[in-house]
Amino acid sequence: MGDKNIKNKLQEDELMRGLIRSGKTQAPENLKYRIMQQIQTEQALKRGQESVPPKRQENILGEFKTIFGIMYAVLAAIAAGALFLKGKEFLLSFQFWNIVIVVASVFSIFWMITRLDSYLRGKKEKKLLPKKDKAGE
Amino acid sequence: MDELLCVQQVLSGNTSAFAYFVETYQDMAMTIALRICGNRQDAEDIVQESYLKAFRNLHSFRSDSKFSTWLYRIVYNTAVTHTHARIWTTDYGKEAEEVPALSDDNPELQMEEAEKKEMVSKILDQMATGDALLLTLYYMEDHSVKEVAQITGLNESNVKVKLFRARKVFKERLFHYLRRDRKGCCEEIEMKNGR
Repeated sequence: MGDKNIKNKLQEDELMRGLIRSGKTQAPENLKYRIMQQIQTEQALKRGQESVPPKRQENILGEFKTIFGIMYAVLAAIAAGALFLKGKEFLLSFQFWNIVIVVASVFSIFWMITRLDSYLRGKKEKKLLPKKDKAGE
Repeated sequence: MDELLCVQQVLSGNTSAFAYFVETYQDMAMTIALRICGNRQDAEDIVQESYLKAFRNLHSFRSDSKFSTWLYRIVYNTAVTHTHARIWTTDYGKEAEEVPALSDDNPELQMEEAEKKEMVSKILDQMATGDALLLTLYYMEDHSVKEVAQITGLNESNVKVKLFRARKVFKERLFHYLRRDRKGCCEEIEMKNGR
């Protein structure tokens, strides 16, 4: 009796399985391509975003260190030269400080021009980026 | 194909390896989404969004469960959020009388595949969303009660109880459907004999 019940239940389950499986919905043909295209586009954008900013940050710091490093080296050389050639008093004179200010200004203006150039270049790249993506599609 | 290997490939940057998961599970994902939202266009959007979520969060997939279970859980959550549906309400408001009879072209109860599919879809459509979803998950891909519980977020005993009830409702509606169909056929035969 118990065996018969179990057998009936199994048969009933099998019938249900068959019926419900027949009601499976088929995904449309283009769905796979839609999904894959969206994933690949997103991935490409992500790669683009990831690669550009760190490089630029490194450049800013690198430029800063290089330009002002050279400036301090030049100033140190001028100070050392002045000390050896004209003595300690010359270091406290207006003439010496004028030279220091001129050198510092020249390097600062050079750094400002470099920054302005990178900013304009970045802006130009941003404008070009969407066009590149469309071309990639 | 080894799914874990495929996951590793996708994680290491081979995006196209993800196509395997799309191709393998898109039909079931579509079935789940459609069962919850009831609209084909929305179901497609839900499946697309779910696959994107799965791709973005693939690093959080742990191999202690099947990939399909993990993916269907995402589809389920996305569909519920998308439709703001309350899945687990015991709404049996849709009366069995609303079920239309099968077409009268086939009086011998030997249903063609398309008719059978139509009948099952209609019965499931008229059941409570949660019950229909449980039957779909349990029978369509032979998921265990544990896996169904993982997908739906219910506990196992709750799944068992609801599954038992859903099975009962499905059987009742199926009998009702077939009885109506048979009745329709008899009436037609009587009408023909009367002539």
